[in-house]
Formats: sequence, C-alpha cells, structure tokens
Amino acid sequence: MKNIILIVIIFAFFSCKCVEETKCVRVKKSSEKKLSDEETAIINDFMNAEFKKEQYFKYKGYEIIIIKEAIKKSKNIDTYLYSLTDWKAMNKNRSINDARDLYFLDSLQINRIKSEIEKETVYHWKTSDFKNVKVNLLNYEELSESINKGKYLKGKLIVYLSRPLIIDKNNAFISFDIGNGDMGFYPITHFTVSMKKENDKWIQSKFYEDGVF
Amino acid sequence: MIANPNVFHSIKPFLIEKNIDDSQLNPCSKGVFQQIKNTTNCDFAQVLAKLGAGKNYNTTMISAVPPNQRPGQTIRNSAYNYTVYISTNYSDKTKLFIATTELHELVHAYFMSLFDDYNNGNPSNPNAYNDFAILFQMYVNKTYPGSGAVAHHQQMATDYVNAIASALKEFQPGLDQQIYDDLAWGSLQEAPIFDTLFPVGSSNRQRIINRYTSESIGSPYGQGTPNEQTPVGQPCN
Repeated sequence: MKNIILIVIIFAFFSCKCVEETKCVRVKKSSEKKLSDEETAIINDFMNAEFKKEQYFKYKGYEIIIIKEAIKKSKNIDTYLYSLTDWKAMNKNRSINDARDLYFLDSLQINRIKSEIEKETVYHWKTSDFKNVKVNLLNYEELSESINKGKYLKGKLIVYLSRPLIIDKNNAFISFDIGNGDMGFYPITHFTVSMKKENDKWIQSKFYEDGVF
Repeated sequence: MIANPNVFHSIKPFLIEKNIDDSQLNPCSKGVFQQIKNTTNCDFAQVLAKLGAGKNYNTTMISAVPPNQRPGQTIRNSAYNYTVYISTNYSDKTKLFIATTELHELVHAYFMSLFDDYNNGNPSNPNAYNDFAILFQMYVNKTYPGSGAVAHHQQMATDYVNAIASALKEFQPGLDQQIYDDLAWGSLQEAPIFDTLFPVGSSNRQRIINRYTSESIGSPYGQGTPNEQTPVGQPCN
C-alpha cells in the first residue's frame, strides 16, 4: 500500500511538473508567434524611415514584398561581432573606448544575448505587423522558385527583415537586406542597424557591415 | 587602371598560379571559370594572379544559392579568406551571364584582399590602396558616404568595367562591343555613377537592364520595345 501511495505521489508530482512546463513552453511559443508592442514600434519606425531615403526614389511605385520567414535575431549579433573585429584591425592604435557609441555592448552582454537566442525559432511576418507602409508577403521558397524559372517579380522591392533584437528599453538591432525584384534579387542595400529610442521614436543609429558583397 | 600590358614592369602578374579553389563549382560554372582563367586581359590577369597566389589568400568558389537569392555573392569570412558563391538558381542563365557574375565577384574578392593587405598584413601594406581612391576614402579616411558595397561598385565602375568587358570578349568573341560593355555595367546599377551616366528613363539604361536580364533568364527581354534584347550567350545544358 505504501508503495502504491509513493507511486501515486511521484506520478502526481511529475504530472504537475509536466503541466507547468507545458504551460511555460506554450506561453513562450505564443510570444514567439506575436510581436510585442515594442517590437512592432521598432519595425514600423525602421520601415517608415528606410523607404523615405533618396536611394529608393527611383523605385517609386514599387510594391514592397516582405519575405515571410524573418532573418534570425542571431544575425544581428553575428554582424556586430564581425564589424567589431574589422574595426579593431583598422584601428590598431586606438582604444575601443574611441568607438564606445558604435560598439556599446560588453562581452558579458554579448554572451547573455547569445545564450538567450540560442534556440530561437524562425518568426513568420504577418501583414498586420506593418502599420504605415503597405506590404505584401512572400514565402522564401516562392521567391526561389520564381527566380529559378526566370519569372521575376517586376515592380517589386523584396525585403528580408529580422525580428528586432532588443538590448534594453532604448536600444535594439535590426538586420535587413533589400533587393530589386525586376532582375531576380538584385541587391540594393543590406545592413545590421542599431535602433535607438529618442522621444518615443525609434531611429536608425549605427550601421554594421557583415563582409558580404 | 586600363587594359594596357605596358603599365606592368614585371612578368609576375601574368604568371598566374591559378590556385583559386573551384572544386565546388558545378561543371558548367567550372568550365566558364577555367576559360576565364585563360584571359590575357592584363587588369583581370592581375586580379586572378593575386587571388590565386596560394600563399596568403584563400579564395574558394562554390555553386550554391546565396541566402538572399542573388545571382552571385562574395563573402569575406575572415582576413585573407573569401568565398565566392555562384547561384545554382537562375537555371536558364547563359554561360555569358555566369562569366559576368564570376568576373564581378572576383573583383569584390580582390578589393577585399586590399583591405586585408592594408589592415591585417604582417607587415601591412600602406600602399595597398594607391590605385583605388574610392576604397581608400571609404576604408581609411571614412569619408565616403554609404556602404562598403557601394564603394566597391563605384570603384569597380571607375576601374574595372573595361577590364570585365575585355575579359568577356575573350570568353565569347565575335559579339558587338556594346554587349560586353552592357553586361559589365549590368551588375553595377546601384553604383551612384550608374545613375549619373545612365539616368532613369534613358534608352541606354533600359538597354543595359534588358541585356543583363535576358542573359540571366536565357530568353528575350523587353519584347515589343525599342530596347528588346535577345540572349547571345550559350546555355549550360
């Protein structure tokens, strides 16, 4: 009898734990599927500013297509570190303090960020994520197929975008890659950019290169 | 720099070691590259000679789809370590388009090697940028607006359009010079000088775009317009 009670207690303990864990996972997955208000603000402030730049004037009237599968957040930190290595090579005689605004993360922060996003899943954009710029979505595979068949997306700007990597309440990163669909994917620009919150608005601050040409 | 053998005082640029690793290219792209390696165009021979030096530079060419679906892409993995992607997508592209893409990407790798010579060499080479004022401004003086890619393309437009066009002419002789020139310009459309020389709406601009696109799809492009272009390159299959 004692054994049966023990088994029931153990079973009940693990059952409860499982319920709790499932709940936790479910909560986490749910947040992975939906942007927070802050993430939405960052993305929209980025889009509003980006497509007002002079380099897009010649694409007036082009439809904006977002590739549904977001670039992983880890791309942001990878590019930051690549750029930091280059900066050090180019400025051998200067202290890293000279570039404190540009490379504002310390190694502990970097390790923490890496660990937090180690198991991130791919976010899928929704048209409702974009408030002020009209966009349509396209799967990566659909783009690949159209390019492979030579059925280019004429009159469309194709945009790869990462979900924001939020550092703190005033700093975040976004990675993007924008191309002209008239010729398959003809690269226009790509960067990782730090977004800084000023007067309740997120503005593009510093740009980081990733060694891809 | 212009395509003139007299500007070199050494035979070294012409003794191409050809060590660029092309073992991961598919047969068609590899065949194109083998032919390109035989170019006698001086400027391009110098590019190949440097990247293929074997001692310092590790340049690998692979056939794979770049993550963002470009026709070609060059990545500086680390100092002296470059990978050139030639897309296996764009399945009906002509060999002439592949040659254009390979030449363009190899110039990117060459420019990356200048960066490494200047910043990571042991000893570093303070003269690495002597012939390339735009790259110098971008990477050393940091006065050039825009990204590294824009600086590369602007420098390429200034110094390598003729070299790429000449190399294409050697690759597939017998075509109108305009075709070689248009293909060389085709991959520089985001360089500021492109908009200056070929303004939006101009006939020249549309001809270049149509030529580049038609070779990338292996079919006529711009049908029914004065600038329709029909591919002149050979298909892979």
